[in-house]
Amino acid sequence: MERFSYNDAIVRKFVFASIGWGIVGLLVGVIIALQLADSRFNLGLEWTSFGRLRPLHTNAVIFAFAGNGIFAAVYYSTQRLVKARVFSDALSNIHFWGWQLIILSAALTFPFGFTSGKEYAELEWPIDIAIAVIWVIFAINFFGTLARRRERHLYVAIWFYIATIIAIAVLHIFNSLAIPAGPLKSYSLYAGVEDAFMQWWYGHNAVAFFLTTPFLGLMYYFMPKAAGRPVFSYKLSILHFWSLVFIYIWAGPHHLHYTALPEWASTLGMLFSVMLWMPSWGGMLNGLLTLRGAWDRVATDPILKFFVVGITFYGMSTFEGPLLSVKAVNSLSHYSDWTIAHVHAGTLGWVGFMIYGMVYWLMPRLFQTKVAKPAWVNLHFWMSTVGIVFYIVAIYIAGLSQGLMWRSFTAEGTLQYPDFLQTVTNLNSMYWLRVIGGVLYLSGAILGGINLLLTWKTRPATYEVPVFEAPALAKNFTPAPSNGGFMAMNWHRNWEGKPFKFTVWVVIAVVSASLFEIIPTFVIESNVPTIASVKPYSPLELAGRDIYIAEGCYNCHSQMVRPLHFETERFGEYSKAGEFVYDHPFQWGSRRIGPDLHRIGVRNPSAVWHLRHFNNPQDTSVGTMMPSYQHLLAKDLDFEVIPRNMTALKSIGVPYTEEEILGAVVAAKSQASVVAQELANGGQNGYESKKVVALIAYLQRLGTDITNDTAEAK
Amino acid sequence: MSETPIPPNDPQEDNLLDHNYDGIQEFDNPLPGWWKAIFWACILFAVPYTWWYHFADGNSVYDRYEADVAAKIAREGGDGPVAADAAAILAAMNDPTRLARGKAKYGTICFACHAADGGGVIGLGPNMCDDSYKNITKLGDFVGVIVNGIPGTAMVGQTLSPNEVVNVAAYMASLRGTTPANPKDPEGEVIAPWAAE
Repeated sequence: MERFSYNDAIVRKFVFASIGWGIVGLLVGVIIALQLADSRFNLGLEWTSFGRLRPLHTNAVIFAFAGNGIFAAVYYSTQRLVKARVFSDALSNIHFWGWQLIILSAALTFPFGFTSGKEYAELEWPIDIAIAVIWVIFAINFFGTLARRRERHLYVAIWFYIATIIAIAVLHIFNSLAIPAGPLKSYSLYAGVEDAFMQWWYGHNAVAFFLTTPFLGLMYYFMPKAAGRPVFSYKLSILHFWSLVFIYIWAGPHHLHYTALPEWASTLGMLFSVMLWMPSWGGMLNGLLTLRGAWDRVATDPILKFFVVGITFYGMSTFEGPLLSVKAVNSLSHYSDWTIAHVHAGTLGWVGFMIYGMVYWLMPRLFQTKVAKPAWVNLHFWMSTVGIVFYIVAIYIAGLSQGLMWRSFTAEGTLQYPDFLQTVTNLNSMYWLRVIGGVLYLSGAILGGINLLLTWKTRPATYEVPVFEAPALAKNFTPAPSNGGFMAMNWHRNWEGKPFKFTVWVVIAVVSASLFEIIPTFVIESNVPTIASVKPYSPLELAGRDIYIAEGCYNCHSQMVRPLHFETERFGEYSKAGEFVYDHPFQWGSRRIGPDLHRIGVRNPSAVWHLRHFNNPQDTSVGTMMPSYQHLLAKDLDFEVIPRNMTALKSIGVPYTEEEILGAVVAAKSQASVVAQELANGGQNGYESKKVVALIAYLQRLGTDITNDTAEAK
Repeated sequence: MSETPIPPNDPQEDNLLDHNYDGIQEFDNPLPGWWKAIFWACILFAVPYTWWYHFADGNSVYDRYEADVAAKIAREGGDGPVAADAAAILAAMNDPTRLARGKAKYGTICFACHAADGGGVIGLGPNMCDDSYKNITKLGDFVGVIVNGIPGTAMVGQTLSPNEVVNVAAYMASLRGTTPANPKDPEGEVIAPWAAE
């Protein structure tokens, strides 16, 4: 018999971090919701505009709230499931503090415009490297714990943790590959269609392996513990685990339906998303049916309520996901608030409720005392539930109505709502309802945070550390006989006794599914037909593009006109794959709070219009929620970094010549004087050296290459 | 919080596997039949869908788009027959359907500088509702301004079909004499009323 104890101090740290950062992330969410309801909440400051704060919100809730919640779950449950103390207390602490520093660095870079411009992966390259290092430390700590286990077989929760660790490492590293141009500036290694593909391979699977698999692992431990019931079906665990891990990876392209992504990839993304429905529901079934025989307790136990509602939201979201991936549905939902409602049902409902259920279950155990305010737990549950309902109902209505307004034609065959702004201002009352829902959910989270603090205050002077006993694993593992055929699952039982083999199979599932899509995307030349007239951005336009990225314009504006009649009527010729070959990173966007900008250079290249619009958007667009960008009119453009940035882009394939790079500053200043002259003709003087001139030059260029010359497809 | 994994006399007790992880046990329940059936159906759906979308004619995104555009051109009387000239514009000014089409196109492009009601925007486009014009002396001039733009100003040439040019020109000409909310001061010269040329 060996004697051992568990490290719960690390779990306590991660619980505090999750709840604390959760409040911060939700608060920023409420602030940006207010900004969409009334643009004055942008405060007129460059650091607090929607475009800069929205990445802070998404990163805080995903990587800080959910991330720390995941780590708390993994450290608490893994030690107990494998009967071994965590591999290294020191690595655990490095993991904890390293992760908090990464989150802090996000808060210190996003408001200042340091961003790589790829959604949910906005952190700049030094922080990306830190994430990779900390993740590897987490992996060493986790697999080291498995290596020292005293329980032969790995429980299903552990399988999901393995999939999480492997897949997130692969996704993060390959999506973040970029060429650094400066200390906090880089360009994605990929461009245009390929960058979009990689980004949504990552983006979709971040949902899969950061917001789904670890939470299924969490569910498989904490739900049966809280319910005191056995898991419904071991077979279902096996089947839904492997099908989920393998199928999820393929589904990314459904984020790019009707874009310039090749159609075969779009179809694969849709078909695998449809297949994903039942593997996802396998998790829901195993969660809900585990409650058989304990349903009477759900009415009285707020922890089970959190779990049941959370799992129900999971079921709802994973039905809606395949539905939205169907191309015809997607043509309505894409770029609208429907997607926003969908993700918030998933994150507030599933991710949030699983974390809160877990934390309330852990509180008396971790702090070895009673929960300070038991009644508040129930109150928190109801505030959050009502908050979610307010949020999603309002935003579903907003999404549907905007999607329908975009595509609506009159009897004469013209757009019913040609003015894009009308489709936005129409949503205002829904945006206020969302604020109410968000405030309710945030208030619940604050209540939970206070309860956590009050409970912590009544902790014992020193925590009792129970010592457990278990025999070491026998050196020789005798596998069970593989009889009974495939469906008897004895073969799988044997894998569960071999973590290395199990992990290798997870790697194979994740990587092979990825390569089936990635390799054709990169090697089939016909995916991106060359357009001879498409040329790299001029030095000034490049500087303008960097401003576009830094300001986070892509958070509200797409650059992708879909081949749909109602889109081309509104925005001009649909976007072609060949037009984006120099776009490092791509800026197609995912949501249209403002109009598409890909053809803005064709539709509205007026420098004066743009200047007035940046100065005070209400001057040109009454009722718009776009904040003022006066700082672009006031601040000088840094011309000197342009050659440096062009050199970085040249190294990843943008055909700038040495002469162009050497003459970049002169060329940029000369183009700036042309734009400034156009502004002066319209009575606007003194902007020749300002940032706004570069951004206007970029907007004037956007989408014009194919009309500058006869487009030739090679 | 009871950690007892299973209540006594549970009818499913026989089904319980000998797995025990920190007190968590597992049943050996079979997969629900409907779950398996839907899973298979979702997998098999790939075959007819792929055939329908990629191999049958007319169902892809681009096929449908081209059909929609062709239908639009047909609805508007074809792309060729209408010449963009003063006579066509004058005729369109008396055609409510064409005016409606012109208004919609105006609402996606021209409104940015000339205002939604045609009153003009200070520093940008002139007022289209008064009798003064900067670059237009007669109805037919609309065509050149819309297609080629006015060099050195915010007015850039637009890629529109001849039908669309006529519609937009007719709508803009019809704005003359209306009362915008915030009219910009007149610019250019007062010109004669619209007439055939």
